[in-house]
Amino acid sequence: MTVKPSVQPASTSALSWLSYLVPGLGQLLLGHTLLGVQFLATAALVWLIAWPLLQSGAAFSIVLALIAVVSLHLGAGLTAAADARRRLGAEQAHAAQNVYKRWSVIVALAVVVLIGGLLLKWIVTLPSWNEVQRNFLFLLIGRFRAEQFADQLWRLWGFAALALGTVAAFGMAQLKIRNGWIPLVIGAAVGIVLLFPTVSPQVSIGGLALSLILAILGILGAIPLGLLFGVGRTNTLPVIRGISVGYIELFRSLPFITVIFWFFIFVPYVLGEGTQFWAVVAALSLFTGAYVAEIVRAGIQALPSGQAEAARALGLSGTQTMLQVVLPQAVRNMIPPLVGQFISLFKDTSLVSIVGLIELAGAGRITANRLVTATFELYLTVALLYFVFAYLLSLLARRLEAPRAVR
Amino acid sequence: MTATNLQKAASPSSAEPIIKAVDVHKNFGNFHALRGVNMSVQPGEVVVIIGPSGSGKSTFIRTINRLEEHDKGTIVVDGIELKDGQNLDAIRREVGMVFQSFNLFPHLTVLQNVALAPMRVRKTPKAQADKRALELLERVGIAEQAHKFPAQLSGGQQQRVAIARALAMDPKVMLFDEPTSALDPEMIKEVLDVMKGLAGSGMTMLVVTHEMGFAREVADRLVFFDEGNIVEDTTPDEFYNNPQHERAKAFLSKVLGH
Amino acid sequence: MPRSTYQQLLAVLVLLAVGVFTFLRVRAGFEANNITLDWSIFSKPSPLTKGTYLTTILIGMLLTIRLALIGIVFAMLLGTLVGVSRLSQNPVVSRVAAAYVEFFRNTPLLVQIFFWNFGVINVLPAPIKNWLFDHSPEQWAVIAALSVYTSSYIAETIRAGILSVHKGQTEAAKSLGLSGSDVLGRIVLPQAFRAVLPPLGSQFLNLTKNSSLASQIGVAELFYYGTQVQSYTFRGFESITAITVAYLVLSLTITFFLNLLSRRLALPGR
Repeated sequence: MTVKPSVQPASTSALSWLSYLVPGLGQLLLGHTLLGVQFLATAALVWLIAWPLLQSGAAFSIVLALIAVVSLHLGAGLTAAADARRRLGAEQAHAAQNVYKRWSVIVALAVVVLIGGLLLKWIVTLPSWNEVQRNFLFLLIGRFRAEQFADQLWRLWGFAALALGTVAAFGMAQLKIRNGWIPLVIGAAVGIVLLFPTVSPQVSIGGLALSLILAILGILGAIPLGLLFGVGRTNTLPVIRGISVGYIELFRSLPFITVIFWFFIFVPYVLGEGTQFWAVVAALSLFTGAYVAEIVRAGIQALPSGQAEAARALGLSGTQTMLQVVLPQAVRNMIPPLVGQFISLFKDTSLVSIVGLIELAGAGRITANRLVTATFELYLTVALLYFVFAYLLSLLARRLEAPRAVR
Repeated sequence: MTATNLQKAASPSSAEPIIKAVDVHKNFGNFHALRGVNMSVQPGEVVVIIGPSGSGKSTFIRTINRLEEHDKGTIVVDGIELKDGQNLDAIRREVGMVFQSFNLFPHLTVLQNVALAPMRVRKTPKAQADKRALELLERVGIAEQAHKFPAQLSGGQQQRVAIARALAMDPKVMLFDEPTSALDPEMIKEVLDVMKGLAGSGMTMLVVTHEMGFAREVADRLVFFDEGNIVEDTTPDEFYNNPQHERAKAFLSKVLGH
Repeated sequence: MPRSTYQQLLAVLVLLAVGVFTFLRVRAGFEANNITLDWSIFSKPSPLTKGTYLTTILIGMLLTIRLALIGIVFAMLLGTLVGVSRLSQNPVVSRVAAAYVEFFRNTPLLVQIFFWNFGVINVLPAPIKNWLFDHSPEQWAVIAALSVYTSSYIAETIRAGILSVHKGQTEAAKSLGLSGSDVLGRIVLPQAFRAVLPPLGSQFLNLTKNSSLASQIGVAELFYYGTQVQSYTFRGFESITAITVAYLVLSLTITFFLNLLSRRLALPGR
């Protein structure tokens, strides 16, 4: 019995040495085009950044550059050599795989450390961070920091109530304790009661706090709308379905900015003067409601049709079937995408600054216009503030999704 | 003549085995799926592999064209040892495989499904590959469906296309992984008929199946897998009439009970 | 009359009541402020661009389309790269890609536009900055923001598409001896692309709608010109209607072409 070697090993191991000099060249000549191109591209990037650094004389930069360059060349050479040996037998092949795994991680890590380190160092040493620090409270609560609202500041504890309610509800869900919605509702109620005077009749709060309030009020309005029209879209009656489809498609076809504009112009006519804040909330709710309706519809349609059929066969009416059998099951599927939609809504609140509400993006814009010099630092801070909240929420959504993925 | 020589002469060809597996082990995490399997197959032999689910029979035939990598032991197919490296594609050209769930490419027509591999792997010109594909489709009895998409065919037709697709690479060995398990009863026969024809033409075949009738009619050997190893290796009739092993007896009574 | 007819009638009545109430309030408001509607403004010459105010709106629409097309191309390239990187065997590469997706998905587009326009352009090296100042820097900032933002969504879509292709497909292709690049290019990607076409299409639609935010840094696209028409003519209702109709036309056209495409790519029998 003969084992056919497909390539002569001697010549190839010689070629692989080239990769120590020019990363990727050895791989290219050995026929590993994809690997070769990846190493070549990485080498071009690393040398482009490292070359000026090596000549700069700054110790920190030189160390970073040296680490990146050395690990790149070593990694390219070692993996090419191991690859050339892999044809000799199963053990070498296995070893080659390990060499490749180890060194691809080391090279990638070195590149990330080089670029990330430089970026971080550059950002930290930017000149105007003290300006951001001075205006940070304005970014968080807007004009509410002013002297005249000092006796109102305690109302911010409303956010603590909201956070507490959410955390308790989430904790109970994780521990499989029923009725997790009770702390959620209590927390929301306390929070809204405490915070309500800061936005009505006059909007005295701003910054991140206003963004959060808008997002919460917006989703509270959007969920009933979404349930109504989402269920309506699955209805068999053509008129009800038609109205639902019309609402959903209209709002999903428009940019949010035009919706705000419409509401900002016309709601004061309908509801009377001084209702701009509620115009914005209505715009947020109706716009998000259309997306929530699609989530509701998807949740309902994901259920096996046998559920509704069984309920009807037991003699339940159409409304009873929907309220007592279909929706309670669909709600579980709807929660993770709903949290996602809440994140979108939270991001969308950044647009209301165009009609004069000074929420986080608006506060950032005002501060940037005043300072002129610290724009990069400022917008980075604003972006990070949004990110922290949105990312925490998306982690929550993923946790809520995870148990179902296992089943 | 010695006894071994006699045995060899009885098999279709007395050349060296086309598949030779020695002490093959495979783990999936903590699960020891194959526990030292030894087996050799002569050219032209039809071997039916049976066994309870989870016994390692599917895993074993998947190691033969390296869809699963074995952890220990050696597998040699047509003189090429299976291990990491460049000879993988060479092996896969020698070994055709038919899956339980057909795995036809849904975005290609039946003809394109069959002609793709010869064109891309063997660099056969398109006209020639198409002509050969039509011949193969003729042979499995669905030439008139050549320009339809897989989803337009019945399960039995899809499986016959899958056989034609594997044959298009002119393999020396064909592996069948429960080719009829996903089919409705009335379609099983049409697929088995194609496989019988193939066996009659002298193809080396390894078939994982529960179709006892098929096994008795065409198999040269019947191999019973249990708990990751071969428990019995005998002729189909012998296995039926006189199973040696307790597990084999239990399995047989269950299968025949249905 | 059957129950279902009552229900439908009730829905229509509720809708009519809301409509009539809104209409009456708005009309009363218009009368109180002496506002009348005058659609003829769109045929009057525009001081903003050449031609009439209608031409101004159309010119804005043209830039919106251009921003959207360039944005889609860059977003697809970036998104595919990041999406494939997220599936990389190399844990460093897949984590960097995941961090990219998380960061750009979880910050508002408007802030990203400000960030690119006021932040990044300010700190670029002088030669690039000078070149940009001669080549409408706001537009480049918007294109950068739109494509990076949308690419983070497209990356997730592409990743899901690749994962959605059944494992048996790769196995069948491999067992026929197809090479790695053929397995990816001929078997996996054509199927992944079909699977993700609807979500990908809605990302294209989102990008087009999101390009309206460019107005906030003074890029003269559809929404910007619409609000300019309003401030030149003091015709709020007319100009917002024009903007709305224009965006509806754009959205419906894109949806139409996406449906056409997915019908052409649809496989018979499924």
